[in-house]
Amino acid sequence: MPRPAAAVWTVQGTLLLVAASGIVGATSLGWGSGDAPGPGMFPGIASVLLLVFTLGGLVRQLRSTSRTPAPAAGDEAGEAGEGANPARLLAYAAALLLAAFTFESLGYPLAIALALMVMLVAGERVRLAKALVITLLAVVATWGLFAGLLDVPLPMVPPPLRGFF
Amino acid sequence: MGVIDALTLGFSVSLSWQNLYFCFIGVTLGTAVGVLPGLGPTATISLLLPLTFKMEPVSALIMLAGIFYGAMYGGSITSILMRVPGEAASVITCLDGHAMARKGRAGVALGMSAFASFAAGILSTIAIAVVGPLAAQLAFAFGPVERAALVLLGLVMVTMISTGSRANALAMVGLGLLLATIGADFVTGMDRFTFGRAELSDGINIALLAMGMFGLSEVLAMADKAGGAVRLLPQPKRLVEMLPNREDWRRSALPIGRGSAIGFFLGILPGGGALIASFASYIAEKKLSRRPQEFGHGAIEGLAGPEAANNAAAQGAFIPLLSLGIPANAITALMLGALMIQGVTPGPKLALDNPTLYWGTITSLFTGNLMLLVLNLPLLWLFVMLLRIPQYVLSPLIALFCLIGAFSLANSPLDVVLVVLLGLAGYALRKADYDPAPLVIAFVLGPIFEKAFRQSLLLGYGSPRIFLERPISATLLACCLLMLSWPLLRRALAAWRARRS
Amino acid sequence: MHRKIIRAGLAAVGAALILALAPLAAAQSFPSRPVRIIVPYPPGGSADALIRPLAQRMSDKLGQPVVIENKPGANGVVGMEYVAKSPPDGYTIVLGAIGPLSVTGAMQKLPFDPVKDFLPITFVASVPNVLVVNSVSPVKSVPDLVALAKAKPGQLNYGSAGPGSSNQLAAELFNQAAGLTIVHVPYKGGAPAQVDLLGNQITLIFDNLPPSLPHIKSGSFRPLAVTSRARQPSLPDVPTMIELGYARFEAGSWFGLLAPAGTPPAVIETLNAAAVGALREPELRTSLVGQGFDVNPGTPADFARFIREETEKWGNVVKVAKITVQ
Repeated sequence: MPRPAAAVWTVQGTLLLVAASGIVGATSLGWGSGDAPGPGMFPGIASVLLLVFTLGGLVRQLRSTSRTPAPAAGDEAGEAGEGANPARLLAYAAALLLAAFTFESLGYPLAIALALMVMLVAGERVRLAKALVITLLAVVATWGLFAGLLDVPLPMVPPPLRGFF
Repeated sequence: MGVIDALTLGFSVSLSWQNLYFCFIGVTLGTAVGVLPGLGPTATISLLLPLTFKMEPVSALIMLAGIFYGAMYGGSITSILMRVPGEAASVITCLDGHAMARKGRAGVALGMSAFASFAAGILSTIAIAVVGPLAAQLAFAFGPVERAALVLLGLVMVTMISTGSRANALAMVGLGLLLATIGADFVTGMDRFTFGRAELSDGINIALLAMGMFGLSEVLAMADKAGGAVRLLPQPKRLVEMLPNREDWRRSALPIGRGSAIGFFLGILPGGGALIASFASYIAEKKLSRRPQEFGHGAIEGLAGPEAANNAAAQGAFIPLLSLGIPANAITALMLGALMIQGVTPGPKLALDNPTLYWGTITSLFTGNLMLLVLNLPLLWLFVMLLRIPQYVLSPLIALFCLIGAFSLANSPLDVVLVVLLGLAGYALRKADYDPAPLVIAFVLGPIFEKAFRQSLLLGYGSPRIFLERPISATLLACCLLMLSWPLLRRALAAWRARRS
Repeated sequence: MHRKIIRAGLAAVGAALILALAPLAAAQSFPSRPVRIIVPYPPGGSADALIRPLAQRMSDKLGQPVVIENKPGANGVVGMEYVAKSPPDGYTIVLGAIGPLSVTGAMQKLPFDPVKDFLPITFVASVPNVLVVNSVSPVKSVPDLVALAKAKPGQLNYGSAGPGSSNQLAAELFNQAAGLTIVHVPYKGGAPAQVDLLGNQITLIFDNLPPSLPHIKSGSFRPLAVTSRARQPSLPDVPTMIELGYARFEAGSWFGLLAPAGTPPAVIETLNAAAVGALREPELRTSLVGQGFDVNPGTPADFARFIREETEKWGNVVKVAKITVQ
């Protein structure tokens, strides 16, 4: 299966960046010594591990892309066709981020409803009326289960209105 | 009091209508929260804790215990069907369980996982009744030095759960270890990588990692597939296709036995727990198997063993709780809290002072596991039917449950943001052929190792020699060395043989 | 009925107007809706054991439900920060404890000010520590322990629930008072430390009394001293550290109720009366004492003074023992 090499390199680049900043952070925390490890020793070892083996993967990648595309690991069966629907993927990712960052400020029912609508309408191309019904049912059902039955103190409304509902 | 008398007394308690009722509520609820991604048994028990204050202590414990091991059954269901672990301990089940489902053997996987859990539940209940408090002494033999050596052995073998490239798996081990160091350092109290957020100083909850890396990233993967309506899995058509066949049983019997033993042992150790137990069992089966290459592609041994192990670990954890008054993990800590609030203090004298509570709870594990099997088998059909829900409804719902589940862990909005970021990261890693399984296991093992290692040095007056002076840890370290040098040794052995012949 | 209509109208007019009217509405008849007590620790711990029965009785006195909400994280800092930033109307209060109020601030920068951001309502209860060793240990008394520690400097060790925990502070206070160098071995929480004392991996713990009691009663732990001012009813034969010649050696964890700064004094009074009244009920008192709590409610001013004293005392211990972060 063809893999967009750019995506792989972006991920590897990010991993290298994470590893490098991990090493910097570990150093500022203090590595300590083998007899008395400091708070930075374990983050440091972990970062070095990440750095070395990401580089290893990168080198292999460079070698193999110059010849043939890298063979995919894992289960091929289910992953076939992945990467074929960037629009829907984008809608889902945006919806998740939207819900996460508005969960507290809008209150959970509104945040979740917005996210569901984005996933259903923009992502899945469900008709608006149908999407509204599904969203309404989902919000009511989760509200009943989590807030009603299990007493999870979910944020219900934006903070300025709290205490009045 | 002999074991027979004790068991008779216990069953007279656990088979009362009232306790059967609470046991049923517990296991049903446990299965339900196990199925729902995010809302694990820890969150559920803490949410239901206030309800138990008005109950009889034994009924309360029976119900809470039911939630705990019921969740081990339920957690497998979504892992197998959708590769979304219902709770963290089911991550290992995703590997071969979901691979089986992809081959149209979802029913078989579900049936075998229910049976493996049941068998492990019964075996470990018997073990608790027979060895009971004696087994608790085992926990004492494992001080920080031995714990460090044991967990190191686990870390050496982490990459074995991956089917992909070894370098990528090791990179994920590094990332998992790094993520695990987020939070306050337990020796100095210094914040590590918390970006000034107090919520992060306790670290990232393992449930968030499991939900993000497996649950949400799977939702994103489904979204990225071509076509409008995605057919999730091949559907089994007849009942026969839903049941394990003779070959499946033959291949699973020994893994279930071994998984139960491994799980029971690791459940007793403090800091052990269901996820580590299922990981250990998976590695053991892969090592012992004559077909290791099938692991990760639907090997039933890789499902049956770990499923038995996580349930056995859940039950093994009751030994230190009941006979020492010491919680082996967060869930039994909650149960201890529930009992203390009721004025019951578990401890070495509980079996003598309060035999109805002690034996009532232990025998309820028996009845509860039986209920779960009876409950789960007829429901297999229903669960497989879940896959008939159109994907465009199912995917958003899974996402929704992950978000709310994340919040309910600590009532923290930051956790909702974290689970989404972890989900996006998990999907990106997956696209680049990085397997999340070693990451999750390293994340769990890393902090245990760091704690035990640094405690050992403080105990050993600052010299690593202490690891070689204790017999258990020296043996375990020798095993580590053997594992690491095995590829070299094998090559040397082969060369020597070749020269001889 | 009328109030409902008015409220609906207010909501429609807008958030700004509501905000302006909120303090007025609250002052008229406190409490007119449920009061939330934030417990900054996970459910099932000793904070929970203390607050749940108390909240139930406070609710009887206030005539409104009192609900408990656990907001755990960073040993109490997350929940305290949340309450510090909550509206100062008395509907969100917190069960504060020694850690975030008097200790953590000496070790690192806090996202809130324990004095300026809170108004004390009342002290609730304290939990003493008990100095325990494994029963196979040759140490039979505190003088034994001091002698052994002096003979083997740096070779004895104590377990704690982590940096800044009351176990560590009590042990450091002991180190400083007796001139010893017993080594700190931190754990994540009290239970794993207990396991290692049961397995005789560590020398001693200044353990919280309630979780230690079952192991003392079963003979696994040997109690050497308690850190409260007077002997404990559950351990009448065990001397206090003060009796053993360590002047002012009081070290335990404690809990009290606080409201965000800016809460009207009348509201604080109402909450204080409800909590103190509930804690003076004999039934509640007996059950809490039986669990190892020293119940000792008082006035807001008493509690404020107590917090100041504790902050100063532990600030010094932290400084001398160099437990400071950064």
